[in-house]
Amino acid sequence: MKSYSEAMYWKTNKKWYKANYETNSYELTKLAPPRAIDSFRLYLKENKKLEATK
Amino acid sequence: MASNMQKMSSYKSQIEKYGTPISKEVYSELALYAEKNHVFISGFKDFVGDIEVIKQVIDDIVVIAKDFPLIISGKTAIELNLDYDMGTDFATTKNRHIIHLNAVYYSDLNILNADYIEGVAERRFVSNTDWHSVIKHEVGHVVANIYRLKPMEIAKDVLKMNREIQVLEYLTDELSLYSTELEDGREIISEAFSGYYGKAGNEFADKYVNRCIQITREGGTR
Repeated sequence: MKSYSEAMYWKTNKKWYKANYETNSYELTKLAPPRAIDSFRLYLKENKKLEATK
Repeated sequence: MASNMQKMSSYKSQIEKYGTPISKEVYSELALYAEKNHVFISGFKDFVGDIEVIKQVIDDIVVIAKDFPLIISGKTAIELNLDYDMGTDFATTKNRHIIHLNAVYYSDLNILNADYIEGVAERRFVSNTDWHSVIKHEVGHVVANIYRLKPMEIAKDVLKMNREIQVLEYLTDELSLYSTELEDGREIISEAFSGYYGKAGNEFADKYVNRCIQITREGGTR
C-alpha cells in the first residue's frame, strides 16, 4: 500500500477528467493542468504494465 | 513525488536516532506471539520500534483469518517481513503471502498514523479508517492470491454492473481513490478489506467482503 500515489492526482478534481462509457476508459478534459496530465500518463503506464503481465 | 521521498529520508534519520534495536528477550517475546498466532515473522531482530504495534498487526491478521483461515495455515500462512528499503510505501505484498512492512513507518506509529490520516482526509483511503487498515489492505491482497479471487468480477457482481469503468466511477465516490488505481480491480478487494475490517460503516465494503466470504465458503474462486 502506497502512502501516496502521484498516478491518481488527476482524479482529485472531477473537472479534470471524464469517464467514457463507450470505450470503457477515462479521458482528461481541457481543464486538466500539466501536473494532472503527467499524473494521467503515469496511471496509463501503470495499467499498461499490468495488461502486459496478464 | 520528490517531497514525499524527502519526507521519508527525514523519517529515516529520526528512526536512526532511536538507535538501540530490541533486546533478544523482547524479540523472543514477539516471535513467540507470532508463532502462537500462526504468523511467520522475519527481519525483526533489528527492530527499533514498539513490539506492541507489531502484536496489534498480528491481532488484525487473526481477526481476518476467522473468515479466511488459509491465511494462517501451512504453506500459505502470512509472513510479516520488516523491510528497511521501501521508499514511501506503507507495506507491500510479494510472493502471494509475504507482507513487507516499511520499517520506517512501523518503528514510529505517529508517523504511520499521520500519513495514513492525511490520505483519508484526501479521499485516497477509506473514510473512518486508521493505520490498522494498512495491514487489512495487504491481507486483502493475500486473500485474493490464496483463494484465487477475481476482485473486479466480484465488484461487478455486487454492484450489478457490466463494465469496469462503471465500477471504477462508483468506487471513486463510494470507497476510495486508491481502490480505482488499477483497472483489473486488485486494489478493490484491499480497500474493501480496509473498510469492512476497519468497521468504517462503508456499505460497499461490507457487501463486497461478505460476498468474498460467501464465495470462499462455497469453495468457489469466481
